[in-house]
Amino acid sequence: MPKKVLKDPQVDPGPFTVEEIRTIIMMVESSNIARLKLQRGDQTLEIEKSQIGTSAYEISRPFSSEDLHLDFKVPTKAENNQKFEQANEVNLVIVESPLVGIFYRRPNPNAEPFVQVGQSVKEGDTLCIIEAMKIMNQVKAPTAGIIEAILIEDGQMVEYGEALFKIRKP
Amino acid sequence: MPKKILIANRGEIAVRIIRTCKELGLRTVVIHSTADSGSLATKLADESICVGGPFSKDSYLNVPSIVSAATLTGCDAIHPGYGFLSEKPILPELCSQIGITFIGPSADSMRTLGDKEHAKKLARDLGLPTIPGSSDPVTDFNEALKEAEKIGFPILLKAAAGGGGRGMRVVRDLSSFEQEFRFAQQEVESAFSDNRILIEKFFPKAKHLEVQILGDLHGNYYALGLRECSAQRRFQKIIEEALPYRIEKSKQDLIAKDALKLAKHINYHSLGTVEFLYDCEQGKHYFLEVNTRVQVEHPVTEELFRLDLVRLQILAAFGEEIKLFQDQLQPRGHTIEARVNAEDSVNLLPQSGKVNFFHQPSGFGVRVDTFLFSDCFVPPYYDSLIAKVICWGEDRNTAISRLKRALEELVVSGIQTNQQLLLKMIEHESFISGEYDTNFVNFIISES
Repeated sequence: MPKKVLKDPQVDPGPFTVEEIRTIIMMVESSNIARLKLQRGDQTLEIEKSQIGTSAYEISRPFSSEDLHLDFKVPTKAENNQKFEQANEVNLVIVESPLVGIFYRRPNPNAEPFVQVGQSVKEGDTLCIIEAMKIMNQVKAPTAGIIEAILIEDGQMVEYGEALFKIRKP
Repeated sequence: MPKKILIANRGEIAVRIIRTCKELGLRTVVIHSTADSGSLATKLADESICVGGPFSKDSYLNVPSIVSAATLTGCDAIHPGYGFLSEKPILPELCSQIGITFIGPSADSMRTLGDKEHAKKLARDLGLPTIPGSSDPVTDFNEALKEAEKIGFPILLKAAAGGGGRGMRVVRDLSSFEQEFRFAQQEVESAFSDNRILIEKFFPKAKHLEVQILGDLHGNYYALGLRECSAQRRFQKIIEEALPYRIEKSKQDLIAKDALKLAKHINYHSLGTVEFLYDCEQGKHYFLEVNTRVQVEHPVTEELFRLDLVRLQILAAFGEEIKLFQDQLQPRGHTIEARVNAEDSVNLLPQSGKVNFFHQPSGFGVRVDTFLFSDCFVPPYYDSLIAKVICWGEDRNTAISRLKRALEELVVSGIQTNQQLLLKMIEHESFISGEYDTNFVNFIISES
């Protein structure tokens, strides 16, 4: 049966992730739901299907997984990776998390992020920090190239092997 | 608010622990390696976290990843299962530092009992019988000879530095002693860079008996009967049963009393097993070691006493008082467990691969603890245990016939298992009579 790691609401879930929104839209689109409103703490997500069949949505507050009573299929890590790999495989490198921890884009809250989308990096450049048990582990670029995508939100928990960045090799 | 628990294990025990946690209203998080991504445990738990690559050292033994996973998902407790980190003091230590409940004994108990020689000394000081042997390891041949003569042949030579049977040799008499000692030293020197040898009395006909201990934080300690695990191969148990069939009740009570004495002395407040060697010729028992965790064969005791031991272990760890009354401490009938391993039926090497069809036997008195399901994958990185078939009977013969029926009904299609070997074992007169000893399995294998 399809199952997803639902981040526990008691452990601050943080704002919506792109993945969550994408999933909910897919779910609404493939259902008979005309309008869906989800509440998470003091944030709300509203999705409405117009008659033409397109969805419009606005985010004002995050939702609670306890409000979400519907069973839905979320693409697994493997399926996600597959989609990534399908797109221009040869020159695209996926940087995966080497450990379980919290993903940080900056060396400290006041600094600039290590990298931005579109930025050029050398092999060995620090891309992010994964914090585990108070130790800040730097994740380095395995190759030179351009940052094509940053797949995880700042402050999000990641598991081992989770895709963090897409780097397009020159 | 319901508490949340991280299960730091895999395979059948992860599934088994998750089940009890759900019954207790606990939310469950299970860790897994990349090789176990689609496992039954990950499907049953509320959340699953990948903590590392397929090799155990990167995942199931990866303390920082596991503790991270627990803290980041807001877990209140960690259950280590058996094997892996379950007997490593670092885990309860870290848990206590970060305010997470460890479902198991204290780090101190683990340390005290984890050192086999230390545990033996402790047992001896408490008046428990221990195997006559050299009190300290020896390196010098003449010292070794003196010890051997003091103990009396036949003797067993063991590595002081490690296990796994490395350097283990039986020496039947004085004439072969020098040669065997030299060989043993060479072997342990190369395996552990440590040439210290332990010398022990060897018992040619022995049974392996163990006592299930349960303690809580309120000073309650229970000995929940004995199990017999003499059917072993290379120190891996294959069939376990309770209560031991050919040992008089009075002897069993004495052994249980000894085990309880040890548990009380060190305030052992969790599940544990005290293991003994039983010399069939003299009818004497000797303390071997303590396993400071839930044991693989715990279901044998559970079915006999109708008690969920993991449930009691978790409640005890959360500070609840475990009060078991006389009527709950009466064993009923007889239970036997057969370990189904993924192994080649001829050379007994571990197998891995896809189980394209799985059917588990059921019916009155049949319990199967497993992680298998049709189309699941048995990875090559871990031990070969894939299922435990536990059968209860009103008496031992009924339990045996039920186990036979269950093993015949079991279907694991796609990989080889030891099913046929198990059937051979339980049909053998030596097993049926209950007279079998620790040589039994090797005997059956050599006969095939």
